[in-house]
Amino acid sequence: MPARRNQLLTISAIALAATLYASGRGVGPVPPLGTLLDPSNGVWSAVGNAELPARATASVPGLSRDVEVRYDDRGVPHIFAQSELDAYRALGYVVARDRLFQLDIQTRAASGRLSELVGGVARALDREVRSLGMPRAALAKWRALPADGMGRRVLEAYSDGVNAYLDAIPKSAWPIEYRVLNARPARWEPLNSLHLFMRMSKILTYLPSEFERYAAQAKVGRDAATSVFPIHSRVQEPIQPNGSTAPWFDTTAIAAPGAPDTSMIARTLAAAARQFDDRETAPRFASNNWAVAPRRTRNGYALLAGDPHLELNLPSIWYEAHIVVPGVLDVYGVTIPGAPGIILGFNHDVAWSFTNTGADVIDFYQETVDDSLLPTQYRVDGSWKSVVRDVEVVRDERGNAIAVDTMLYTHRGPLAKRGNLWLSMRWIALENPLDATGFVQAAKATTARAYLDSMARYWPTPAQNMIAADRGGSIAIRSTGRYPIRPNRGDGLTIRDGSNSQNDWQGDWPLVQYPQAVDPPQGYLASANQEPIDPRRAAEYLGSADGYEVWRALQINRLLRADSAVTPDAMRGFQTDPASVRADLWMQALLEATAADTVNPPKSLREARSLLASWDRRYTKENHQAILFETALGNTTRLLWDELEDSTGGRVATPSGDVTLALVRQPNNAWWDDRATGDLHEDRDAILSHALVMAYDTLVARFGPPSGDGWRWENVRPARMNHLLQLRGFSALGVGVQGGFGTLNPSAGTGYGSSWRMVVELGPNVRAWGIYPGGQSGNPASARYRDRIAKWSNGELDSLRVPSVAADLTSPRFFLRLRAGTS
Amino acid sequence: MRALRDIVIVAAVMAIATRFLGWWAVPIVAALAALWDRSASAGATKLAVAAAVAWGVLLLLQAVFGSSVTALARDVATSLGVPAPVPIVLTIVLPAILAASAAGVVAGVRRWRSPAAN
Repeated sequence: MPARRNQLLTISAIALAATLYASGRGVGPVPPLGTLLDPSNGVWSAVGNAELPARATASVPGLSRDVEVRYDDRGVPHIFAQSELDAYRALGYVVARDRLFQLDIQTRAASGRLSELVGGVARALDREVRSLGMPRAALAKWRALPADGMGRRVLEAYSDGVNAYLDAIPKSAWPIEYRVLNARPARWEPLNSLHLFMRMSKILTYLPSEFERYAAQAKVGRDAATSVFPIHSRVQEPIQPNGSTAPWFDTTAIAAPGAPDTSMIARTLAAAARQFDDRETAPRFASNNWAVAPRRTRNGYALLAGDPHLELNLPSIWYEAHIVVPGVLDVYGVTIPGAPGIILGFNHDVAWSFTNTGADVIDFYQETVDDSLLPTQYRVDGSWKSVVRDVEVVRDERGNAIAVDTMLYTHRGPLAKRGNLWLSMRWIALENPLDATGFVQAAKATTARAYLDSMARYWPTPAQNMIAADRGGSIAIRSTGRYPIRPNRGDGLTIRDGSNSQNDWQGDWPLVQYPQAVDPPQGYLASANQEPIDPRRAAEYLGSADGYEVWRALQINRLLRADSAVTPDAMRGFQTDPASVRADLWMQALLEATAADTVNPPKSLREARSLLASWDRRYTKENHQAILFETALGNTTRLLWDELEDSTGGRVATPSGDVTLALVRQPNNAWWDDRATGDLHEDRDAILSHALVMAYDTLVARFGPPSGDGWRWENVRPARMNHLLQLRGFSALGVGVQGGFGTLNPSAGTGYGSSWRMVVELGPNVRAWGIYPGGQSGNPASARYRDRIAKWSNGELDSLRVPSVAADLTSPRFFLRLRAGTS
Repeated sequence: MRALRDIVIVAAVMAIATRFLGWWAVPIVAALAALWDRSASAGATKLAVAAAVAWGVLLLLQAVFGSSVTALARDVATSLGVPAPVPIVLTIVLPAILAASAAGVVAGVRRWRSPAAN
């Protein structure tokens, strides 16, 4: 009996210890089960907090007067405050209320501290952020903001609001993700907003084009690399109207592959580069915006459409809000959680939206250092200068150091080793980081021109093609940002000698030289990341063709030219228009090229050609041909650019689609030859036929006959919206969409896409429509977490409510009163 | 009847303690209840049932006053790569194991210290 008693005790003790351990610490990737499953404080508490209370009151330190927040039926908070700073305090509060985890994780990612939250898996990402000097630049910016300036006070007010919410909630109201991670939310610092802006700058401007071109040089020589990685797009329909009513094509011959460039720089950068995808369809951000003058609209009012294409996440990158300060501010639109202000939107006089300019604002310099392993000095104009050394420590919640990074800087920026080279980087985002002043001030503009002028004053980076339209009927666009002037008016595609200060930037472009247009004779303006100025008129290097994309611009210009009585609903329709200029141009060439093999064409080629010939070249959800076309183009990319492959089969660089299309018009160019076939020399027709047959056979093997559902565009290339922690259950994967690469809605097949569609009509009473994929709430258990996805997928827009006084928003879905509190 | 009454009382205490203290209140309440109730192995079973009832009721309350528990359970299960019912089943089973093992340890220690007992 005693032995049995001991046995019982032992079993119970082991069971208790194991369960306690699993409940409190977790096992492997499984989070602590007790913390996770606790029905009051664990994941299930998300169910209880899914909806906001119908009425609530909270204290916010620093408020000068009470603020009333009414949420409409779409969950959009309308903030009615008596001062601007009170409004931004309230904005911080309501954003935290719906998106607390997103605020936290985005900021930690932007400041190189993501490891604190998610552990070692984020170390590489953190190290990259730090090595680029982003947290250091944000801190320097914060310290430089005048204590009494609006830029600083807005950040502080927003921070007060976020922290007031954090202080007001019990642990059970923390977002569900903290249970999964067994972590706690961090307090919000005003500096965090600057980290967020740095992150935006990195996403939109960290595009070092020189690496690709050098890597290509190492394979095919300088002439060929310059030819397939040109400074200017080979298809032109620029943002700043050039007076033409059609795009023009550069038909100059493309230089054939030549002898490799064996310089140290080229070999080093080629060794570091690897691309295995078809670049054209690889995930990329982009954007569209356009405006139409009253004389080309049916109602006689200016119209504006905006549609930034960014990474699609759940919750969405955007949060919709309306801010009213009587007599001062009345602005509606979307903000990014962490940004104190409306970034894209409208007031009662002006509407605005952005697309990315893609300007080259980064240069690299090869430095001469005193020690090739751990330099302490670098040489400039014959003298040695000290390398600045920054030691950054990442700590866990208990203050223990979990990582230490040592960063090196020259006067140009971060210094890092690539192969045997020490390269320093100069990047505008580090020199003049963005703060909130621009969009806070510009939101009060009353004309399109005033809006752009205000932004030009306060917006150094990321360079954006800012379009605006106003109630007076004016439309305007300007590519706003700071652009460097290189020595000798050179380009930014050369790695310069850092030992000579003459190689440093010589200043910035004057505003008058920026790509811009106001009320052009054509009656509309459009940007879709194409090259901003016609190269025949460009005075200075702005960026390389690598940063631009032309297809969407061609399509929107085609649509706008064809419609002289545009309606808001037509604008909505344009946003998901399934037609593709790229497909039109390619299909003509593809059918012509593959027709050459007429003597005894293989069955697959006959069937593939027949299928493609029946396609209307529209990326509708139900069509079965687009996938064949895209797969064939992907194969073409791999077959055509084999000269840029290394021994692993990966390409060191991939030219853009307009270059590929230019080669289609040069059927005997040596690039078409497939090196794998030795003495046999292929031309365009052979490669395109092979690419098409391979595509057809692959798809049949994978999805069965073309009539099957596997070929349906919406099934084979759906949009994906990943949860911020990539948790599948909280993500929306497999969302069918109309559109594809090169169409105005390029959301298909990637985790990128149309992130905020907006149409505004600037009449006597502004009318607006909008939608983003996701929902206002960041709580996966909430009905407001993904309630907009179905409409977004169908290309529908919600009508936006824009009450100027609180009383106009009757029957609010939720009501919140914020009272002045003590800190 | 007495057993049912005991279960209800302990379940209520566990639910309240969990609400305000967190998951670790379950083994503590179970251990204290086992010290109080000397009915040995039958006590462990009762406490396991009480713990399961406590968390089950808390979960039910979330469902009544909040959004869909089953929808969230499905999403959590998908995220963790387990079948949909697993999170709910675990939420019932975990406190039961915690309570039963805590009670078992208390009972075992008591027997070990008092060999004459039972």
